[in-house]
Parts: sequence; structure tokens; C-alpha cells
Amino acid sequence: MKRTLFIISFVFLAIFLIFPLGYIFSHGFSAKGVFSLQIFKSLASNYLIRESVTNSFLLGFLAVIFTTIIGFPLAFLFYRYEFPAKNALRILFFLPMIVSPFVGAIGMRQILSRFGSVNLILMKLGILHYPVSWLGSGFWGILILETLHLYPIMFLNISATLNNFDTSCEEASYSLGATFWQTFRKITFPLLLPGYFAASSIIFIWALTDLGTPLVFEFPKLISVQIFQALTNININPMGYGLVIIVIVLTLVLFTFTKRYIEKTPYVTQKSSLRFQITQLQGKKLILAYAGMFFLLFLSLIPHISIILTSFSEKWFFSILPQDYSTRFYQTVFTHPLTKTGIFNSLFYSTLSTLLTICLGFSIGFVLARTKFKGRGLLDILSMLPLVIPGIIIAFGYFTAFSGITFSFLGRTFSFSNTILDPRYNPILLLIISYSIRRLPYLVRTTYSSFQQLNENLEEASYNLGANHFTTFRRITLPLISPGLFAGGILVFAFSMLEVSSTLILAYKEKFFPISKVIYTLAGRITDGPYVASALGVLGMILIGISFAIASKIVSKRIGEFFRIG
Amino acid sequence: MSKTILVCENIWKSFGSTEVLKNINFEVQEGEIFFLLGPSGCGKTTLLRILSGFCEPDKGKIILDGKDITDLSANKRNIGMVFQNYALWPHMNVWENVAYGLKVRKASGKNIQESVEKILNITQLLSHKDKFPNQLSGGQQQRVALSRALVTEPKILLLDEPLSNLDAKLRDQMREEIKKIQKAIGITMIYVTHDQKEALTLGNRIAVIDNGEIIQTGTPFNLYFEPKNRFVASFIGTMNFLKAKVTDVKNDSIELDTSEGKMLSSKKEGVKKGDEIEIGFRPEIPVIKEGNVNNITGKISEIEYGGEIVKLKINTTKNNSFIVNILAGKEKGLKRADTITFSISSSDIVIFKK
Repeated sequence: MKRTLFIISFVFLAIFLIFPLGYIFSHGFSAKGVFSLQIFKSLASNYLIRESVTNSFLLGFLAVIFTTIIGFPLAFLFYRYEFPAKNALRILFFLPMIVSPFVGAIGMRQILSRFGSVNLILMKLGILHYPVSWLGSGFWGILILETLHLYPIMFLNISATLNNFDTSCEEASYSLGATFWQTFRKITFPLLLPGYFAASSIIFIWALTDLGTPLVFEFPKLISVQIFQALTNININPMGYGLVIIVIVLTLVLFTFTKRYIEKTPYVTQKSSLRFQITQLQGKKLILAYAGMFFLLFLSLIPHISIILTSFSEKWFFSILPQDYSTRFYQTVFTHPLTKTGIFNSLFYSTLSTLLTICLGFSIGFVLARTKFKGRGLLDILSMLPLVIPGIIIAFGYFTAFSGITFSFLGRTFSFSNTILDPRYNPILLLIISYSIRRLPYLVRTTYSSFQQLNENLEEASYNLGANHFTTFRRITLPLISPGLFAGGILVFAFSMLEVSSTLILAYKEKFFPISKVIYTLAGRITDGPYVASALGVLGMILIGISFAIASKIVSKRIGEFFRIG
Repeated sequence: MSKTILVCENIWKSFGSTEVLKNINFEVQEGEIFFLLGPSGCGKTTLLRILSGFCEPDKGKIILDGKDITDLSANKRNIGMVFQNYALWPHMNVWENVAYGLKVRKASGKNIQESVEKILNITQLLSHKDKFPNQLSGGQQQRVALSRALVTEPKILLLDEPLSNLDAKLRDQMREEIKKIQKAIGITMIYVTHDQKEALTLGNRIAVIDNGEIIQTGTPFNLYFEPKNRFVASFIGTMNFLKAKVTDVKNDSIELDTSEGKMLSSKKEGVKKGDEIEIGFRPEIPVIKEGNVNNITGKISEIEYGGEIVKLKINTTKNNSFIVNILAGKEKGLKRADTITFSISSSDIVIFKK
């Protein structure tokens, strides 16, 4: 039984993780069937590609800087000071995470466009005489949206590191005569570095590989968009493989470095139980802190607010706020064939992928925690790999590797063209699996740590009283580890509902579109498209918000693990 | 002639509605080891944090070497501190940890080199100077924490339960170590602990704290043999108690009426005829033979061997129960259910007013 689970897990990961990645590498390093670096030479000489790579790096780098500027002070404020409504504010600051920036982009377009709200307000106030093109080429719009989407990751990681931090380490520095800045520079910051590196890596890669936002802003000079576009003629122009390999190598280097760094530094300090130094914010300082926090909240919720406004507006054109309001577009969401199919598809895909992730995550977590099979280490690495492989890469791999597989074995030819394994023919299976693979590491980790915390004596006591394996599993083991599984499952469901990159790439035909691709398609239509897209986006926000609320009720502490590595 | 280095005047502190410290007053002499001893939650750590500057008192004054430092921030006080969990910086090695305090004071390189080397010599850590905290044993970490706090030559050193993270054997060793280091450097120490043994063996003077108040301050001898009340008596060592009524007050003694008969005590401060009081004596005080006064007779209900000392539990016919300790070997010939008589010298009877 244990061995079967082990083998199934392994085979699954071999087919749906190693095979597509291997496929990418084998095509990236070959030309006409032999090893070659031709693709990389062509990439290097291509002006558009060079510019895209530069832009993407700049985007990732600036996103890290911007999120640092926001996330650091925020984390310190919450860690050091006590102020009214602290917990409510903490939750509000996580709201930006629950809507994918590409949905926000639709709202931002409405507000920042040539005749959008911002220009109209400024012109009305007489500050501007001609409308300004705020979004420009779209680069800064993307950066702003990604910063507003990603700063909670910085906030979360720095907060978590601060919380594991022995405050007497700082006090020891003060007692030796160091000033605040000396202490920050020499003690606090170095001790925060592992958490900071981890957060920076996530943010960098996330910004670098985000596909939805640049597509909405129609800014093509980024690696992610280039990869997406390369797919349309991948058979005659293999540039895409090269770009994907660059991203994979970059990601692996970055995360390996971070992991090494975290492991090498013995930064686990004893957590002190005394938290005396939390001071109550009062007077001017409190007002200043509130002003800062509310400004940030307002900024980060602009995309959400604008989407909600758009979704409820009858018409919003050449005016600061919508001219008329209606719920017409919510009705359209439930009647229009495209949106109806989208909602149905998303529910269908997400449900199946959630079940698949739970089964797989549980099996692998169980095998890792409770068996001593050779190859466990490899299984561990493989199951954690998706944590660092961006969605766009996995989808690219699936799209190329599984398109029309044909091979010969023992003189017979097998072909998977036009079967469920061919994404051009029917992407359902691969969509579901790609959603699963992406979130698998979290469930593996949840299960693994649940098993670790579960004292084997508890199960032994059951055997000792005469219960068999199955009864023990059903009555003792499962109830003890199911809260983690359940919470993880809900989050997998929510993430799957709004997964963007793999969806945009894999869902090719309209009848297979899930919600995010419907939103993307609608946003591009001129008439009522953006309004319906916004209404659908709002529904998605509500759904994901509820999922998070439920999941965090179940495992309040561990929810943060979904946004952390290391 | 020693001089007063630290004065704590009328310190009050509350967290929310709980009063944690109530009117704390004490003085510390230069070069002594002064203990703040009390059960957990009594406020001693808060008091230490007020002294170090990490916590502000609601009321009161702290005077260090003649200067009022109450409003001075922690990093300007020049008070060293050894934290309960050592608070060694994991990203710095032993040398860097110890040198830190001098570096932030912008001491010269030569000065740093010499001072760090000197202190690491005293604490026998010089051979470990390149190691990181996680490569050191508990005792070594403790010594790094001490070195780090001492290298800047603070006016006083605060220690917050420094031995509580060590196992029993290491604790005894470190206790000796701390005593040795203190003698070598001559630094004044204020030492917080809940372990009475630590306080009695190391302390020059001890302030016993309970519930935010200093109950009694004195030398270990004082506290042990002249505890001010039941709390001090039972917190430090063991004490046998007995209810008594004062029947007569004489020139040099008082006469008492107890359930064990008439008793005599040579202590008589503040009692008058007719007072209902409690008397006590330490378990090692009685002699097992009939004396002139203060004889108690009872049955041995338990004999417990504790190494060098044998503990006898004696029950009397009046339903009183006493503990009497005798040196090992002296119990020969005694067995359970034997009836014995022991006596207490009238000068060793401690009295507690109600």
C-alpha cells in the first residue's frame, strides 16, 4: 500500500513535471536534432528580446524595491506598536493579495486612461489643461499594480521573521550603548536578511513571470509576453524554449541561493516570551501612522474600488465617476454563454484539481513522513520544485510537450494526438493537473508537518487496543491531520479559480475557457466587455475572499506559509 | 568603606490595572552581589528591566553613582545586562559579539583588541573566539554573554536568571564561575532569580520580593535565621510553624502557651502579653534529647535519606507535624514509629506576628 502510493506519486511527477521540463531543455539546446546553443545566440542578437529581458529584470527589481519601501515600515509598525483597530487593519493590508493584478489592471485602465478619472479630476481642478497619458507604454502601470499586489508578501515575510526574533537581541545591543540606527544596521537588519531574501525572490520572480497584467496593459516587451507569443508559432520558431530556460535557470539560481543562505545562517534565535517593548502609539505619532496606513490602503484598494465601480456602472466614459449605476452586468454574467461556460468550467476544473491536489499532497506527505523508501529525497525535491517554477513555465511545458505526442514502442506506434492529453484538442486534463502541480508543495508540506507533529504513540495506542490499520487511519490519523488538509484544499480551490498564466496559455478554445480567460477576453472587447469582465472579477474577489476567511479560521497561523518559502 | 552605587527610590509600576511593583526601595553597595529573589510573577524581572531602561517606572527614581538616570534611555546608562536566554547574536562569532559594545562606542582598534582579549582570558573563551553561538555549549554561551556585558566596564551588571537554562550540574559550576569572575573584576552585580540556593550561596545581600513588594532585605544569614514573616521563612529553606499565645513578657524572654505545652523564646520584639502569634524553628535546629526548655515529644512517621542529611518527620499526639534534620549517621538506632523527644534552644525560636 505504502509502496503503491510511492510509485504512483513518482510516476505522476515524472510525467507531469520532469517530462515537460526535460522537453523544454532538450528543445532549447538543440537544432536539427543535435546539441546546439543556436537558440541562445539568436536570442542574444534579437533586439526585441534583449529589450524584453532588460524590461523584465527592471520590473522585477523595481517591484522588490517598491515593496521593500512599503513592506518594511509596515511590518515594523505592526511589530513594535500597539494601536486601535490593529487586527482589522492587518487583515485589510492583506486584501490586495486576493485579487490578481490583471483584474485590477482593468479597473486601473478605467481610472488612469487618457479620459479617466484622474485626468478628469486634475483638469477640473485646473492643474492640467490637456489629459496626460499616465500609463505611458504601460510599464509603470504594470509596476504599480504588481507593487500593490505584492507588498503584502514583503509585509508577511518581514513580520514573520520579526515574530521569530528574540527581542532581547536588540535590547542587548542597546544595553551596550548602541543607538537605534546602530542596532538596526548591525543587529536587526542582518537578522532579518533571510526573510527579506525569501520575500524578495518571490516578488522578483512573480513580477517577472506575471502574464495577465502586461497583456491587459498591452505592453509586449516583457519576457512573459514574449514567451506567450512565441507559443503561437513554436514549431517554426523555437525562441520560446530559450526564453523559458532563461527564466527557469534564473529562478533556480535565485531560490537555491536563498535556501542555502537561510540554511547556512544559524538565525534561529530563541523566541523570547516577553514582549515588553510593544508601545502604545499615541498623539501625533498615532495620527501620522494612521494617515500613512490609510493612504497606503487607499492606494492599494484603488484597483479593487475601480473594478467594483466599473462593474456597477451603466456607462462610465469621460466622467470622474460612472454616470449611471446598474446591476445589469451582473445579470449578464449569469446569462451570457461565454461567462456562463467560464463559471461552470472554473468550478469544474477547480473542484477536480482540489481533489487531485489533496490526494497527491496527502500521499506524498505521508510517504515522506512515514516511510523509509530509497528515493524519498528525490520525491521531496520534485514535489517542492513547483514552488519555484512559475505557472507560465509549467503551462508552456505542458503546451509544447503534450501537443501531439507520438512514439514507437516494440514496433507499434502510439499517438496521443487528438486525445485528452493533447492540449490543442482538449486542455481540461492538463489545466486541472497544472493547477494541482502548482499548489502541490503546500499540501505536501501541510501533510508532512501534520504527520511530524502527530505523535506515533497516538496510533500505536489504537493498534494496542486492537484496531487495524484502516480503522486507526480513519478514526485517529485522518481526524488529526484533516484540518490542515481541508484548509489547504480551500486555498487550492481559490487559487485555481483565479489562476492566470497557465489558463491564458492552455485554454485555447472558447468552450474550455475558465473565468480568468473569460475576463481577459471580455476586457479586450470594446462595448460592454470591460463592465461584464469587472462584474465577473468582483465575483471572483468575493469567492477568493470567502475562501481565505474560511481557511484562516481553520489554520490561522499557517495561512502565511502559502506566500513564503524556505 | 564601600559606597552606595545604586539607589532605587519609591518605584511603582503597573501594567493596565495590575500593579506589578509597589513602592520598591533599596540601595546597592559598590562591589557587592545584590539579589532580587522571588517566585515567578513577583515583578522582579520588571524591576530589572526598569533598572536597565527597557521599561519606564510610573513613579520613582533611579540614582546611579549619584546621578538620576530615571529618564535616561537604555543605551546611555552604562549598565551591563546578561539576558536569561543570553541573547547572543547568531550572525556574529564570539569575538564579534564581545567586541560589539566597544565598537559602537568607537573605541580604537588597539583598545578593542586588548579589552576583548583580556575579558576572554578571564572567561576562558579565547580559544573559542572564532566560533558562532550555535557551536557553543550552554555554559560557554553563558560565558560569552557575561564577557559581552563586562567588556564595556559598566558601572553595574544586571543578570536576569542567568543560570535557568542550564542543567543542574552546569548550574553549580557556573555559579562558581560567576563568583570568580566577580571577584576578579570587582563589579557590582544585581542578580534576579527565583532560586533561593543561588541567592544564598552567591549573594552578599538579598531582597526578597513577593507580589510586587520587597518583603525583606538582608544578608543570607539574616534572611535564613531572622525571616520577617512566614513568606520569607518558607520561601528560603524550610520552617516548622506552631501557633502560640504570649502569656508573659519578661526582661530577656517571653513565655508562650502552645499546643505542645509551655515554651520560651528569647526574641520578644514588638509583642505583648496576650498576643496570638506564630513561632517557628528551622529543621536543623533541634537536638534529639530532652533539654531544660522547649521539649517536644512525638512519633517518627517517616525517615527520608537525602545524602548528608536525614529528614525525620515527627507527628505529635496534638496533631502537629514537624520536620527535624539530622546529619547522616546520627540516625542510627532510630526507626519508624519510635517515640522521641527533641528540644529547641530558646534563642533559636523565631516569632512571627500575625
